[in-house]
Amino acid sequence: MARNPHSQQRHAVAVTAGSDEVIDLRVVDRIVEKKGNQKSSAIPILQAVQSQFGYLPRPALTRVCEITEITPAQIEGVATFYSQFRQMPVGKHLISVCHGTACHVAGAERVTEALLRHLGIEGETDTDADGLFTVQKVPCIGCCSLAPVMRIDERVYGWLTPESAPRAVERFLRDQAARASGKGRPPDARAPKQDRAATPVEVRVGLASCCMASGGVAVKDALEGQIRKLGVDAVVRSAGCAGMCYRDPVVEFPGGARYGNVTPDVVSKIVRGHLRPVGTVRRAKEAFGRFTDLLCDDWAWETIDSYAFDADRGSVEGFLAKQKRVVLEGCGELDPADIQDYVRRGGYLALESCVKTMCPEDVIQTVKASGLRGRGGAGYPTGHKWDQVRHAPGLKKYVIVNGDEGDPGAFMDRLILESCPHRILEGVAIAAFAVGADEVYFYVRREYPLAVERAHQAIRQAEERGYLGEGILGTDFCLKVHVAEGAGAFVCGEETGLIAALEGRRGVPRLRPPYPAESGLWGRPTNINNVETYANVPWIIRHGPEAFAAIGTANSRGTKVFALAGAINRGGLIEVPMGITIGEIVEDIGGGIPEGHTFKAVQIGGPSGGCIPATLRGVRIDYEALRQYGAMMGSGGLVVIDETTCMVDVARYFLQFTQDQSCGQCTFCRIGTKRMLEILDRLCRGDGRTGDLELLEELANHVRRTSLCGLGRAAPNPVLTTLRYFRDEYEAHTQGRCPAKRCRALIAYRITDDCIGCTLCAQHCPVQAIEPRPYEKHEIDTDKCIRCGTCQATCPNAAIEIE
Amino acid sequence: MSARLTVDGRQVEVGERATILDAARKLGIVIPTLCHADGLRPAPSCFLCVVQVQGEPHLVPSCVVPAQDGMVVTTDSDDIRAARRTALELLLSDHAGDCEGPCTLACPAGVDIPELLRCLVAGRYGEAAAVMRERIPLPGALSRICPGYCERVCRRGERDEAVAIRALTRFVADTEYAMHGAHVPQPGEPTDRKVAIVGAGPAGLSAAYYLLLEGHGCTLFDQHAEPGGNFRYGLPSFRLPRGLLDVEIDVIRKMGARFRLGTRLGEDVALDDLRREYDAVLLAMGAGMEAPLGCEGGELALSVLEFLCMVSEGAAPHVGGEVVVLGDGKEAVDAARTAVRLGTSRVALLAESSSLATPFLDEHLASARAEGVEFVSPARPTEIVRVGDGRFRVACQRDGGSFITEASVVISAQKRSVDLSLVRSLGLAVSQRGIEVERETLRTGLGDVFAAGEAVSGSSWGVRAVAAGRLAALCIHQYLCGAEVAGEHRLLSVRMGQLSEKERAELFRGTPERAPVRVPGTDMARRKSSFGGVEGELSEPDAVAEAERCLHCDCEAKGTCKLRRYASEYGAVAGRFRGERRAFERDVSHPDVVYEPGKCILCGLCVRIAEAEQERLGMTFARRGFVTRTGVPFGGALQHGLKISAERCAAACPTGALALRRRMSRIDRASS
Repeated sequence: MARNPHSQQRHAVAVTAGSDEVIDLRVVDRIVEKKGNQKSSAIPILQAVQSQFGYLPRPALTRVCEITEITPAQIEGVATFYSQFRQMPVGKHLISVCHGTACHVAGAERVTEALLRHLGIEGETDTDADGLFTVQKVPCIGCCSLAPVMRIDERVYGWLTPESAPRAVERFLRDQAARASGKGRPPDARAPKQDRAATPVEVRVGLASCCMASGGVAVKDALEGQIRKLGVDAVVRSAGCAGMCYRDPVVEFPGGARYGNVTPDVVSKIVRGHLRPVGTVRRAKEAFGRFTDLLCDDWAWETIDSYAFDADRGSVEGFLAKQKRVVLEGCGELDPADIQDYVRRGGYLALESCVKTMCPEDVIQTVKASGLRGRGGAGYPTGHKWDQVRHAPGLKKYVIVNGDEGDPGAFMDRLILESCPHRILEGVAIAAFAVGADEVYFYVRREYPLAVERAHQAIRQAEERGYLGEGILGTDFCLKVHVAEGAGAFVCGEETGLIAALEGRRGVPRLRPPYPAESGLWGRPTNINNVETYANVPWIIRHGPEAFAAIGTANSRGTKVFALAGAINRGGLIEVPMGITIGEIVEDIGGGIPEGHTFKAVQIGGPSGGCIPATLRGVRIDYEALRQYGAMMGSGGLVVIDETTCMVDVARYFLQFTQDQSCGQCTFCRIGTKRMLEILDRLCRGDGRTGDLELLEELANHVRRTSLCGLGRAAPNPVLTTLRYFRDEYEAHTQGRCPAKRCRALIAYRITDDCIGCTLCAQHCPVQAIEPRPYEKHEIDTDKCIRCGTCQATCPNAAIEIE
Repeated sequence: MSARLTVDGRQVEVGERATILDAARKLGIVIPTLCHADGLRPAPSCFLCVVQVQGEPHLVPSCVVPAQDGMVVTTDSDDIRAARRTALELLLSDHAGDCEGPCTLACPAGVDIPELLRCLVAGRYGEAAAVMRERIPLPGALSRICPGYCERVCRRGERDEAVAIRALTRFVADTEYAMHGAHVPQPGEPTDRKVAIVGAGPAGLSAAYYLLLEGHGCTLFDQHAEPGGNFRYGLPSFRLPRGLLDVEIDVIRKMGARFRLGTRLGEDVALDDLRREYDAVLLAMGAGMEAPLGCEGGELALSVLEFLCMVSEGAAPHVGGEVVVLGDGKEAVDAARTAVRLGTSRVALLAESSSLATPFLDEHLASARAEGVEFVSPARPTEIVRVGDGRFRVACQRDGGSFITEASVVISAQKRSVDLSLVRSLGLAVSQRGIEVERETLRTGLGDVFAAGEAVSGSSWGVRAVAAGRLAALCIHQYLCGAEVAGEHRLLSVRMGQLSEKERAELFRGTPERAPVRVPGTDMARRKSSFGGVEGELSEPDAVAEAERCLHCDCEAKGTCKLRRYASEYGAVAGRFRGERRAFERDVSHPDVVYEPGKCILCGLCVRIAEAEQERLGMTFARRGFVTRTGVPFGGALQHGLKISAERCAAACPTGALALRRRMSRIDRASS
């Protein structure tokens, strides 16, 4: 192609597809009409353009600049900043492999590789040759208890292995084909109505994303089908998540009978155990059905009792005994899609008492007295922040809900949003009343589509009932709530970065002070708290500050929600009183480490937090105590690590994350974390050099002390804490050893004499590194071996070891 | 509302909206900044301006933190300096560009070769010669004898052939002398300080030149009857014409140098007397002692120094039919080539190492071979015996075997050094190679005595002696001024090192695809029978054409770059953090400004300026994290992005990422 040498196309700051593509610009015009033409509409416009075209075609962007206040510099800056936006067309289906903490330690990397291998995707590309699938790594889907997890379009697949992931892709294709040919599930025309006059029997099924990922929707469909079949007057309500992710999906019948790990196959039995068919014909059919089941269904031999929670009452009690539910009160019981359900349980009473019986100062005083501190990580006293916003000069004030839960390994915000959106709305409305704001921005990660949907739904319902909108509950308090979807940038969890995103800019944090309380959104006083913080507020108002302050430690009052995942028997979402020890969480609530493994450490606080070794299991959950040990509360990810996890690799994993998520503004974070990561990469490759550990430590301290925002300042924490508690592992790496036998460049798989010659490993090896030799001892060709671990997982005789 | 605060222990009051940086400036305290510019909205990114605010656990960027009442600020401490140095080192680790051309960095004297070639192309030969003289006061001589470190690293060589830099410097010197005669610089205002320089060879002459420029008086003492040292007595005239040497020495004489010739240190004049009479002494007497040939009968061989000196003084020995030269240095080759010109029928050069001591000898050796010198290596002499008839028999070992050759003259060219016993007798320490000096300052144990050139290094290249002479002059000047004798303050230089294929293409773009100009040679018969020059002269069009092949690898902003200046000031080490870095790129679409994104440090000044000037496209940040880049939106070329503010952006750019297009010489730039 002849090209003017001066045209410099290669300097494209973003690789955008050629401008010769034809797109319908009227679509763009319509999007702008809907989203507005101000600079602040940039992100919503781009999101709409992308959902229209699958990516951001350049002519569309040019068009946007022509008809809005948005400049080319702004749109290019924004379009290339957020991970959500794609400059190139994508495959027909998008596979997002979660690389959250739990998924990482459970082998997400190997799963990704297996997928890429399966789809024949190589080199720089991320889409297969047929344009059918695009594979991308995503920070966290928030289904940590199912790790490793991937999502194909909107469907989530959990507990993947390098072997099962490709099968899941094939299954997805089969389902697609079936649906296309009409053989799939028929559209349900007779779905039971939600609000009937008579009170029907309610069957609840947990339907947060995690539950859905473990098959909740299919269970719900099966339940509904079964109920129709029996003709009983029952409704299936989707409930939120009870946090017992290790038992997902959970079904609950009236009277509290609960079943866990339910599959559609057992639904009919469970239903028949609780509901009697209506009408003689149905009963006769039912009886016959039971009889045939007995004849031909394997399941018939298994009793449904094994699914009942009663079967492991000890486990459930253990899981719940030491928890204290303030924020999660009713989660798993409430129907998140129904405001009435919330109101029936005392919802919005706190708001009502605030707006009708209290003045804003009283509300602030109450929150101050409760001792509530920000649950986003830093722990700033919430009441003080509200007070500052209230007293900041200016008539126009804003309240922002920070639901940009970007930490890999954390999903409490998602779960609260999905399971109990009204509690957050109520808390926010109280906050707005207290600080004197009339507009709220609800900033939610776009990676949580269900959370976004439920937020919208909840706002609509609350407006209809007069809890939001004009003249709330008959007073003159007005509140407009907007939902803004994040576009994929962890740094937007930093409040000034979030404000930048809301204003339609690159999510680049700025130096504080001035704090948002003084100068926030569009320069106005703004109160920002995270989801969990707001969710505490209604409880505090209803029960009084003293009740709240009675929970926890002197400086850390109340409870904290954690996403408990990793090497643990009972993972899920837990809410614990402050002051509980790490040991209690791991052993009592989590039920300890799976048999055969040992507790090594917990990673607390995600990429900004640190690793606390098992020897410090007595450390209490308390803002100051955690900080003293180099970790931090963070937003609440708590990943349990056993001896099979390499601490250098963990540090590298988190640094890789923050490095990817750095906004790139300041030198220390942009280049410093990169150079730190390169040192860790070297160590994990066995290429460590003398002085590397010292250089790493020195750089870590500079980055910590001199970065601009919280992300950069906290980025070295995982490295510094692992250096502090596991320095011997680092030193082993400088000598080319990985004590956890995890770093692939430093290990080799070997078949021992225990091999029985079953050839299973050879059959499963994805790269034919093992030659099948029936009844003989097998051998691994280490040159071919990619260290995926499949052979070890398939060997029936544990004859494969790592050296 | 104003604020009163304390900065570095001093009180200051500043107005509303003032930053800590403003407060410090008001007190005259300098805080380094890269991303800050008055009048533009602050957007801290470089973090060079960090300071410590009492009670604050982090270091904060002073360019944006508001000055507040009662603040106590520290702007300089070990801690702060370490942070700034680290920031600079991190920026340097992701900064793709060469500050100086590889040629300049390779040149022991550090001649700004790209600049010299730009002057040449612009037809400003005088200025080109001046660029040369900034570093080499004997340009004509050096252009002939230099082994050409510069040409070996020339990036043009990665494409076709290196630029013929030495031929071009020769053209520059010769043209100047031919047109106007040698330029005699104005010596500095006299200082009443006098320096005694022992040795009027390349190091001594060079030192004298630069000392005279500073106004110090210089007297050069030399044992020979004529000045020039090794250039006159150790180099055959076919390599360095004596007439040219006289012209160049004459310049130094005209600047005021005095010569006390035929004077030998330790015999005719004592060091103590010199130290008494002069304010400083420079020992630059060369390396006139040859190591003995380590074989039996070694004393029968003629010393190469003696041989070349005799030839040089017009008293060439009768060489007879065959000459054997034993040695593997450049002197051995010189001796062999000289012997050819003396009419010997056969010259054999027996060298111990298979490649001669340094790769720079390749071309020298090639010339010798072309002139008929036999080259035998590796060969180690074991015995020399006189076989009557004034002939000698040389027995050698080679590859485990041995052979015998005969010759009428045997010349030994062994390692040379200064007379170490003389040095010791002067009360000075000696190293393995010569007089022991402090490496950075060339100062001996006697505070007022400095030493330079081959007297320090042993046998070496003329260009190193000249460079050492300049450094000695600089340090002696520091000493005479009563300043700290610290050596030369060199600006840090970032080097790109090995380029990728793509980067090479970027660098080559826009320079003519011209084949190298061949420097004409002299007819071989004439060459072998006379002591005339070996290489012919370049015509003016050829010289310009050749100079136009230069890629100008040096940075447009090498003199103005703030990153470079601060990195040098804070002692940053460019290679401390290594890892993935940007690629070198060059956008030459704009008529006035060149954009090299690889050099960008993301200060965002251009983005903010373009925004303030309301450019239609302007500049933007794209992507995020480590791969954040600045560029024109939608991948546009710079000419479209910066239509009105390009020059302002270039002026503000703290590095050479955005720079005004290079005028062909510094003079042009000054006048434009």
